[in-house]
Amino acid sequence: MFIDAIFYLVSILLISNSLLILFSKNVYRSAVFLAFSMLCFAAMYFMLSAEFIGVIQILVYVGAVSVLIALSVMLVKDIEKSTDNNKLLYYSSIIGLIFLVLISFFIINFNWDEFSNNILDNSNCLLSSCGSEPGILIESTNWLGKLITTDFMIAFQLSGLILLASLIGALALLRVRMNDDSE
Amino acid sequence: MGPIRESFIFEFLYCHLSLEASCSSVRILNIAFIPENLSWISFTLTAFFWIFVFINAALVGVLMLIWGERRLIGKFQARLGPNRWGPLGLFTPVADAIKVMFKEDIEPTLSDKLIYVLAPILMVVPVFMIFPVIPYGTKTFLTNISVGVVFVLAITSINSLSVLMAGWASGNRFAIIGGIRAVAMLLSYEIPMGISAAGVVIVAGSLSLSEVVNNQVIPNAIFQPLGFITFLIASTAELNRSPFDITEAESELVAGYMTDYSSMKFGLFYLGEFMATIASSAIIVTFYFSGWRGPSFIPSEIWFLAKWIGVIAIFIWFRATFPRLRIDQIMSLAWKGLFELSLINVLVLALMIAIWPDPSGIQLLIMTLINWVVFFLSIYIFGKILSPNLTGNKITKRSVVYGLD
Repeated sequence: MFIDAIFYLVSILLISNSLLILFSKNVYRSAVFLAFSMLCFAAMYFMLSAEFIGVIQILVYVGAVSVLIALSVMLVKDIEKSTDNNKLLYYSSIIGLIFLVLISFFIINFNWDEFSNNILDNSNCLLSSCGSEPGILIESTNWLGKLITTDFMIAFQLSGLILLASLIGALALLRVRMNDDSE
Repeated sequence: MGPIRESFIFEFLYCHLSLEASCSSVRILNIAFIPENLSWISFTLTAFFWIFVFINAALVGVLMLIWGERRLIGKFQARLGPNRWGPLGLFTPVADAIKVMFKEDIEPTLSDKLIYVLAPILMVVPVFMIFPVIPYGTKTFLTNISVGVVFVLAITSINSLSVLMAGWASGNRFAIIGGIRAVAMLLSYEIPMGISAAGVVIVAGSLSLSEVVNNQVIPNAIFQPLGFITFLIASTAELNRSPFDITEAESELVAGYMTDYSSMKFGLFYLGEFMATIASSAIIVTFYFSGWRGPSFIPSEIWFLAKWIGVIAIFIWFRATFPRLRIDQIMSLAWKGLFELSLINVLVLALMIAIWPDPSGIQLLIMTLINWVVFFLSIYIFGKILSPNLTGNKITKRSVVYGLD
């Protein structure tokens, strides 16, 4: 009952914040609402007992990514009403629609029960109570770490590689700019 | 409702409200009246009561900290400090708070009203969330979430967003520059802070704050001095406290991102910073001073409180002693000094834990010795490398714009 009430509260906040991202004319406000909806996502993860992912959501997306987005939004020419001269409106709406169709197709057709059962079976049941009991979920961090370093090792390493490449790219760009300035 | 019932203070109140069968052993007075099938009501009532108590305790703590900081800095500077209003000037912060509330609330014409109002709230609210997860005694904690260590780091990272919002929404150049500088500093210092906390997690073998305290046979401040020093410096920077108070460097930026704030909105920023100091001190006690552990003739809560006040005094001592750093010095300290030092700390600890997964008494002593040798060596080497950059006086465009020397 209590959890249900909080769930509906967070859902309303999440949906209204997501809509505000889209419909606020001011780009900076959109960036701030994005950060707030990230916080609501973290609350959702907490309610699903995925505490580690929820905390990482706050640490990475609210504490760092939203801040960087808010910083880069400052480079927009007209922050107050920049949606007026969007030249990519039609292309972006078409791509968004395609993405929406694809993702809803995936969500409807995916066999969620089998997927979660598979994962619970492969986790070697760290605690005695596997299944619907929250016992397994308390140790979810441990179990997540094992999954990342065994089954999903290549995906994990590849994501690290992408981050490294982008870091080096950003440094290279900055280095060129700085050399120009100092001369 | 499983893990929350480990908490003694929660269960005590919960069992005096709910008629649940498992509660009868905890109950002292027979005053419970809420039937078992309505347990969510007693849960909600208990939760709200403790949230109320924690918020008010934090506010009173801020008043005490403001008073203590002024008195102590007075002592450091060979003067009296506040001493007129109440015994030993104890009511000065109360008068201060009332004064702040009655000031005129100005909203700048160029400000973005919505974000301007939201920013101070976002500064204060997250800090309240740190207090319930900290173990104050053997059974005195509100919740023991399984990812406590990352949780406290994540919650303290939200304030960078608030600072940027405040800086931009004011519509003032000083505020924007102050906000951007603050964000650059906060994001940089989050990294050594997180990596040194990883050292604590490696030693404890768990992300839960209760386990961190339980598994600390030798206090981490002695066991891993390198991690302690990096964490202490990084959290001083995270708190925007002197010597890292570049965000509100009066001589350069008026008051940084707070320039256009007045009345209680400024009061909220002030409150948030002081409350974050208290919360960070509690985190440092839990991570590095073995929390509530101590000889058992004194209750564990008293041990925690004593260590807590000690760490707060260290922060005040920093503020009274060190001169403020320039922005390029701050950035090079974070990226060229603390980042590598915290990495070395984690590497050495991980190697040693890999060799001795479950160290006995003598092995712990050897590990402590190795850690101290690594500490002195790396501090010496990095001091040699960094010193010409930190003391040099050349100010170029590169140093001012990019924060690099």
